[in-house]
Amino acid sequence: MQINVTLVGSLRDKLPKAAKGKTTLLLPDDATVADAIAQLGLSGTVAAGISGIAVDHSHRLQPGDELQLFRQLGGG
Amino acid sequence: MALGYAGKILHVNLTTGDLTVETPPESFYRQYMGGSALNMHYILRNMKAGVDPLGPDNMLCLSLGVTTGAAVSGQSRMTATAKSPLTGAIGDAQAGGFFPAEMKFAGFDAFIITGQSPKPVYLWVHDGEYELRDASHLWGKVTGEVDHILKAELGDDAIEIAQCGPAGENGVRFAAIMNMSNRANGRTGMGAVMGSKKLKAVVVRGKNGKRAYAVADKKTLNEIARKGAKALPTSDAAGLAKYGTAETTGVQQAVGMLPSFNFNSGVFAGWEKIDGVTMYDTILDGAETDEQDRKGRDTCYSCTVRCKRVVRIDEGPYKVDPYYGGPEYETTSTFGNYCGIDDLAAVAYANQLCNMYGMDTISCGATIAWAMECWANGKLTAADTGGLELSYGNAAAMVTMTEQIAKGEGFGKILALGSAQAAQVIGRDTADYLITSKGQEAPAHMPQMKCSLSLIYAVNPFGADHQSSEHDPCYEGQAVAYPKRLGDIGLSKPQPVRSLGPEKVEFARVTQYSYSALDSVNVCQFVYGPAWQLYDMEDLQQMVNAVTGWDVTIAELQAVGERRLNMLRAFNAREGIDRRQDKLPEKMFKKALIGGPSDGIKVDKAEWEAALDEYYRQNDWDENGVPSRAKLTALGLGWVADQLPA
Repeated sequence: MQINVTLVGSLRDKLPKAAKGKTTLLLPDDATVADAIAQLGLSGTVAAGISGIAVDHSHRLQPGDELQLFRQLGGG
Repeated sequence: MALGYAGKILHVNLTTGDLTVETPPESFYRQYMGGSALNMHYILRNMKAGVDPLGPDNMLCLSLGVTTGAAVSGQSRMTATAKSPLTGAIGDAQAGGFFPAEMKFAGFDAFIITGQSPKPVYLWVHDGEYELRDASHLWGKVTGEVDHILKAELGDDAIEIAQCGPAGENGVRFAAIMNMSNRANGRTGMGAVMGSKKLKAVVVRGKNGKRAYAVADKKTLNEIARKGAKALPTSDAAGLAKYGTAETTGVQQAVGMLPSFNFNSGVFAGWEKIDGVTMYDTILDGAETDEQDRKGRDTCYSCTVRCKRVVRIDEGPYKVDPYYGGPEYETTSTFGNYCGIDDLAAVAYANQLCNMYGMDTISCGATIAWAMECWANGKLTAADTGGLELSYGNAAAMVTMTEQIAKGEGFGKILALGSAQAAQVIGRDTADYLITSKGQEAPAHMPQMKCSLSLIYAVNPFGADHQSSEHDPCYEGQAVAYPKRLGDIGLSKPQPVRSLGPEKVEFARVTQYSYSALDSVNVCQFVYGPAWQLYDMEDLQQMVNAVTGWDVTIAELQAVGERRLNMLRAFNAREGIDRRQDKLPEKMFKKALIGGPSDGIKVDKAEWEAALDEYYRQNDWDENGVPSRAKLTALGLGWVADQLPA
């Protein structure tokens, strides 16, 4: 299946600058958020949301999901 | 010098001009560590209840911590504490920069300032010497001018200066104390207290202090410093380092937590124009030649993170001088999304005005946003504002109003009171639009979405604050995001998203002790903390021990934080401030958020009230939120219990 991913904040540095943090991923049908994070090669503590709603790394993805990934920051 | 701390406290009576030095025993430093815990020791012992915050009887305490000046990241912090003219409760604010370390090198851990000078003065402290000097020639001057004059006058470019700007002189209720002209003890109006005392500046220099600074275990301290520098690039603080605190703008927007239009929405269409990545790419000094990592990122003494922004704008209506730094996330939010403004240059310029005149960017921007909502609802008109159209999105009006507030001109005279006091003056139901707790404007994190923060905003002794506990997301979901770090302070039961049950209250309370400890040891909460920060609480414990030679535990640090919190609450209880003031803005209960992922969400009042009771119970406070005698005694504060109303 294909999902759309937005890397937010500093995570966008993992992609070419012109991509502005946006990419698509092709994943197996039973893929989870953790699989998407692994395919992108992201390390450290990564938080996830789908269309703005927080989800765990074990969350099963659906075709066409809008997945957002970001660092878990507190105040600032 | 003792290990880490100077061992000397300078007492300054501005009414009489008397300056005296106290040398407390080691046990005093171990009990309080520094920061606001140390300050509260003096305030509770020496200041009677009910004083005028802008009168001579208020005390202004400026203190460091036992590790300030050590060669390791995140230790150069100074805390200002006094009764707040913004809230009438205790006021408390921290700042970084090079001033704190230089103050330690000058030979002192704290300045305890009382009285009111008959004429403007500045305190000059250097190499253990101290004197009050005439500051008549500095009065009315903006921060950058004062820096240049004093450096020339004292013949030393390496002096460090903490000062109240013209806003503090004018009694702006949210005036800040500025150092380096771009680091602020921002919140709760400590600059107004300084100005009311006619104390224009505190100037410090320790030519030999840095070399003489001794630590117990230099090898371990060096290892901690190297560990942080090595870990930073792959740590969760890496983005903070490169993009500054405003990195979080995009994160907040993505999950509907970006407070917009005076907290009526959690999303803002113009967010990308004002976020940290855009700032880095466009207006950070050096961006034109891709040299912003070298020119556009500043630091505090001995810190590897370098999160401070340095902005340069040479063209257009809003020129910004790098001398005045650049906006933090809180600033881009309050002047930006709070006000519906997506003009980054205007936001950076408003930030510069705040740094020149000495004002808290959070309360300033949030007060203007409140006025904009009043305008949108017809509660304010051009007749009030002198013809200025204070509508959402009007960047020019926002900048003009910031300047009017700083100078005490036009409608700015009213807004200089802060939104809560201004609403009392204006009336007309303008209080319905307030986003204040205890009279202090809410910072840019949303209680509607971070439920433990809804509690902390209300119960925090010095008003709504985002740096007094860890935020909910790291304790929500199926697994704790930082199991080792939060486990170190006894937190291992992650909670459902947007929950506020007893376990979430425990998370709020225990991490509040951690943050309170950080403000007592006086270290940066972006560098040390129980979750995403560069160093964890165990690192902090090891750092404190390496500097002082003590054998503190994490539990002892947590107890220092709990002690500070109880002292702050006890001060408020003396002032008659208790549960009645532990409130969240009514609009957060009544009005649901509009748009984006947080559409339709508001705070559940019944759940919130139950959480408040639970929070008091867990703290061993009474039903009004007043610390019990048993709790105070257990914390070594029996003498404080004697001051509380029966």
